[in-house]
Amino acid sequence: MRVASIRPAIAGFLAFSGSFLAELDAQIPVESLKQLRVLEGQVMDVVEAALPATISLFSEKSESSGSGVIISRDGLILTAGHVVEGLEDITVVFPDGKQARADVLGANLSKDSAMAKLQKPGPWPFVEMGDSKSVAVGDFVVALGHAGGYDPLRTPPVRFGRVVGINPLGFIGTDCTLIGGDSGGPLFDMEGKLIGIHSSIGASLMSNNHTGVNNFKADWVRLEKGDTWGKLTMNPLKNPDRPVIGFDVSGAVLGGVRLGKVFADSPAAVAGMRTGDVLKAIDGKSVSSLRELQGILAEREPGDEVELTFSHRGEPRTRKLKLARLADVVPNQQ
Amino acid sequence: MTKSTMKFSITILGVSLVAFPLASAQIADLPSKDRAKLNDQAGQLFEALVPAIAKVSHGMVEVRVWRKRVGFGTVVEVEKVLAKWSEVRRDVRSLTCRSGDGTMLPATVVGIYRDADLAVLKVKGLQAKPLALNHENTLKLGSFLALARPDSEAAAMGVVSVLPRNLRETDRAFLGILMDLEFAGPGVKIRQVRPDTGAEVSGLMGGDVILKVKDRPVNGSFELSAFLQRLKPGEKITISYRRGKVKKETEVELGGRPVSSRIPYSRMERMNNMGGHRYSDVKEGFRDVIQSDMQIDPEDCGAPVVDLQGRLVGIAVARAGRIKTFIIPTVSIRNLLTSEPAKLRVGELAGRAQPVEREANNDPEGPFDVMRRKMEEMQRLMQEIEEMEK
Repeated sequence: MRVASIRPAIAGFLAFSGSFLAELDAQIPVESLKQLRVLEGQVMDVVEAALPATISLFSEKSESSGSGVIISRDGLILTAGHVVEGLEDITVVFPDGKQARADVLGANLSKDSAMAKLQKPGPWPFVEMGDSKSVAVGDFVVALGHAGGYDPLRTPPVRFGRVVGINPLGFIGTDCTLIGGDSGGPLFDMEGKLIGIHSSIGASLMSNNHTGVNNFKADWVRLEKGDTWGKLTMNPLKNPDRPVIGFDVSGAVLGGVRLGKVFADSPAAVAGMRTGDVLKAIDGKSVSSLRELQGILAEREPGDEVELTFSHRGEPRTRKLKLARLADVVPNQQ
Repeated sequence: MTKSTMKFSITILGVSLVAFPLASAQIADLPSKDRAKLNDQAGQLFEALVPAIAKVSHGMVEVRVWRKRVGFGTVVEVEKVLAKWSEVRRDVRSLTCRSGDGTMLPATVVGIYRDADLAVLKVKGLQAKPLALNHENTLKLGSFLALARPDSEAAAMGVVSVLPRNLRETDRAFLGILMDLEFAGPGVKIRQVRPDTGAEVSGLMGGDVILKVKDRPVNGSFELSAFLQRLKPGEKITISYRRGKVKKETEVELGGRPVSSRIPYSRMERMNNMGGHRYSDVKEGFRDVIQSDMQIDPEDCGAPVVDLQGRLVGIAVARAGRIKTFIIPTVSIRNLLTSEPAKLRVGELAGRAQPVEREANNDPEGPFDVMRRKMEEMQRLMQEIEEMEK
């Protein structure tokens, strides 16, 4: 089943950059019972440390529940955007049954990320933040969450698995099976550091999606301040608010990506970019694949100014332009 | 974790919360290089488990109805095998057990532990040595578990997701109040008192605000229900409460939770059934089970589960949902075997694919309800697929 015409191109590029990543990452193979026991010990340690900070979030208003995780002594909570959408405050329930209140802060719905803060100053149990950018396919991970909502007769179920995919918009796919109520719950690396927040599932047991913690880091100030923006979408690449330059990519070439169709009146067209040009860098960051291009754009917003380096008929050019919204450039996308 | 890495599905049906809208990220098709890497890695993990599995695989059999495997069996005494009752009851007259060396032997059901959904099979001439049932509950959250196959391979691997617990609702304490969820506190406001419950007998009324239970202050409704659910029916507790401005105290004898009316076919169930995964017919209401994230098929039930030392830690008894498999711990099996199993009822002997029913868990849905539900489900899936392809 295909979702959008853009997809085959991405898949191709994932394969290309995947081989590059594989050489960088040093995963220790697990080939014997002894090594398995070491891994088991790590999993148990991660769970022990993270469990007290893995909370259930419940809204009396909507009578629905999700999960969250505390990341600071004074009670800052990370959760999924759709868990707190439209709410001002929520009930927090700890695995031991203790109950508290939290204020909802900001949310970036496009990244399904949100923040909340416990009303009392603490000290609260908390976990350490990790880095979702250094995650690679095959990394072992642990997921926690109050699956099915808070249940006083059990602690949030532990799930162990591996990273099975990384998407350019900062989401991580794993085979840690998730279900309703897990949303907003934490995903950890083997050092017990938080690398993602549960977002959604697909039909396959391998299809469990988490928004990376770097998505939170990129928006930290706005989230803390209480801004809510963006849009929840099935397919983030079709999100009408996604920032775009205004062209399709026809393929990767040495030192850049070649432009396919350039959309009329888009920032790209206005800056003089044409089909066949090769985009080499954005703000000095080199672009060698569609994936890298999407990764760079994912950290920006429509309206942001960027400097593009590209070659037009073999001739190098540098232009500044403002990123547009996808819906303004390609109105029929929806 | 399963051994084979399926083609990564891009069918993201963004489902997250019981009442929230769709949200989703989407991961592109898994590149072949990554898929190969994941497969190699899984292969290594499962290979590493073989020495642990080898310690129990001699003590298990395949259980077949006619020629079809309906489950596995764990050898617990000489010529005695435990298998999942709701699977073997499909036809108890045509049961056979196949051991690892390929020997096929007829088996008869000599007793049933109905609460555990386990049948005791007598297998005359079975050479397999019974497995030692001496493991105590030393498992921790995150302990690794593996499901054995007769050929010494691991059928599945997972971790302890939740420590052993009782899933029977009727074994839980029940006060008999409906709580006012919107009451801001302090304490928990009673919206309504249910008739014929401990709460009614004690004189509690709607509008009362519970302040303390057993001398412990109560912060909110979750805290109160968490506290109550850990108590036993029959226990007497003191409750301090406020009626208007008057503070009062009463003693309440807790009852057992009534069998709740069937929850409507919920969003949760839909999430479980996404992708057509199969679950055991009898999957709830066990008295003592470990919850694991290991992914098994319904016909893997009855197989022994080991830890990394190769010790028998339990018997897989149900594939219960997208995230869970239930395992009856060895300690529980040992206790079970000291009691006399129930005998087969006349109707159960007659055999041939009777609908699976369970005393405590009767499903009021008729075949037409089931069919309608499945059609609705199919329609819904088709809609979601169409929406995605737009």
